[in-house]
Amino acid sequence: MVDMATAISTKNLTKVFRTATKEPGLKGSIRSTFRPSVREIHAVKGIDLEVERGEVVAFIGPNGAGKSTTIKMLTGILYPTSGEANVLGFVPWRDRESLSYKIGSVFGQKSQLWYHLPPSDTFNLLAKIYEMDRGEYGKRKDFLVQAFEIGPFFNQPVRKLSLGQRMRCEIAASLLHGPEVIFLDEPTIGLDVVARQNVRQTLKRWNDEEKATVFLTSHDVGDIEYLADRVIIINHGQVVMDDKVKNLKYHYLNKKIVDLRVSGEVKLPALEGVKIVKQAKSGLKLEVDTEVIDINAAVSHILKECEVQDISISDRPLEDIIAAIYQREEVAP
Amino acid sequence: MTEVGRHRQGASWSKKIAKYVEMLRITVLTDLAYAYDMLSRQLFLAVVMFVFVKLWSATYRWEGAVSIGGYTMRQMLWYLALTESISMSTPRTAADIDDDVRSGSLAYSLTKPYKYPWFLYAKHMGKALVGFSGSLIIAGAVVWIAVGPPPVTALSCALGLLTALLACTLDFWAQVAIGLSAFWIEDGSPYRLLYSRVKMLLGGMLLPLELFPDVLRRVVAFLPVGQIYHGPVKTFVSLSLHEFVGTVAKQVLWTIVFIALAGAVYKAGVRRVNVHGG
Repeated sequence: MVDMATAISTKNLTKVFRTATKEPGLKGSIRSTFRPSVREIHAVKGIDLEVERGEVVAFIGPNGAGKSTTIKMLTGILYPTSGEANVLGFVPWRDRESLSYKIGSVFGQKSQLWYHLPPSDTFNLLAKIYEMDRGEYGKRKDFLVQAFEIGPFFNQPVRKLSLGQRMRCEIAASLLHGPEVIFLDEPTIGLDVVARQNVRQTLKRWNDEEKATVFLTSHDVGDIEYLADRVIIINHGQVVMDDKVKNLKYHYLNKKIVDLRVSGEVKLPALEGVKIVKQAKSGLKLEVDTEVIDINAAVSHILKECEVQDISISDRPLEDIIAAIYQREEVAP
Repeated sequence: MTEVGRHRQGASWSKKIAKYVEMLRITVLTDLAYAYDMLSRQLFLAVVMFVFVKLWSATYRWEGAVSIGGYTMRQMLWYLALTESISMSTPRTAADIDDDVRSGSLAYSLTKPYKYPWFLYAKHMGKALVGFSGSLIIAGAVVWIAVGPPPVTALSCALGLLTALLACTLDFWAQVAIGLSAFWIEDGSPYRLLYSRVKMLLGGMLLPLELFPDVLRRVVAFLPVGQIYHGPVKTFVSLSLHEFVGTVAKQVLWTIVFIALAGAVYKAGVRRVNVHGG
């Protein structure tokens, strides 16, 4: 029996892919024709999850960690090898159609918009697919067009839209039928900084209003910081961390990487919270501990001390954070 | 929970059908977005029909006959205009399915409340409708100039349209069964090629079945390939109610066979959906 407050739950959810392998050369080809060898890829290894209704959960991990495979099992696309899953009271792969009315999904690498037609045509099609009443559809469309600010290009063919505009339409389209749970798989993938921020702000604005359950995968920590309340980190098919985002921020997202391209030789005086990671002839890589010094203060200081040609500020890569989590676990009793 | 996020499973049949009709409409819109490109691609058909006009004019003159295989020259050339138009406009649904299976698009469609094969059917019919109209404009124009208007009546048109619809449906389900084999086989293109060539050579695309050797004609007249070109086109240009009833019966029978086959393949195949992480 599933608790009504629980939106998503999984128990020992496992997925193993079996892939045929071929040995190199003619001999190998002939051999594998008659005796094909199969390699097993353990994409998801016994995951247990509980997501409450209304929660915004970031499900993150590096490439190949198993996050997309998990999302595909939760949306009913893939059958698991073993284990259980329940989404809004349905077993996703068994009750696909019933579940599809209640969930929405955005797969960053798979568009549901018709490329040669304007988004408005895709919206009309989706309204029919989800069997919406005309009045209900009109109201919902107006709300989403406004919330996602897609009105100015709503009637332009999708092929003429920028990636950011397209993604906003994509997300709005997936929310048209008012899903109770929305799965966002890499919604900001391939977007530039401005478009990424725009998509994040729009999603935030929408969810502040609708309070839906959001299950978000990304390998961009910025998405998580901005949108999620809780973060689940997965690596090699296993959950390595399940905590509040504020705890993740406190322990692992308190460092920013500042990359500088400078002219001339640089002699940066020591500053508490700023560590030189790498120094080259015309480049400098710094790590700023934001618990010790504000990033703005650190950058002002740097700009005063050297002639900067280019600067970029980024979060620690997810791989570093995961390595830090493992280290912390090893150190902790 | 959102206001509109409720289960709509109890929706009426009209709403369930409306989604496939909308799919057909949107496919037509997409194909019409490039109507001029499509027409220019099919200009080649004008050359093909011109060759047929010259070839059959010479044949009828040489034979000194008014009809060959029961077809007058006007019927023969309109027969060919229609079969060529069908051939040129048949959507490559088997290849699309193959692509959907391999790229994972089929998998993503599983998150939407529609039946993938019926959605493809709507798409297939939409594409066929636009493609056939375009081809017929080109092929029909050449034949009309050469031998005059088509030898049809209101009844032969109505019944011809019905058999054409059934032929398109039959061809669609045969293609689904072939396309879904992508779940098991590495490369489905040889099977698709074999199907299309058998359909073209034995199905009456280049010659009416009446001109085939007797044994071959009898066999092909029963097989599904005989119901895709010859059946409907014969109904248009030389209606025989007896043959029409036979054609419809065979079309329905073979469609049921292919629906059952495609359904079984789909059910078994969908468990094999493999989409690796993004």
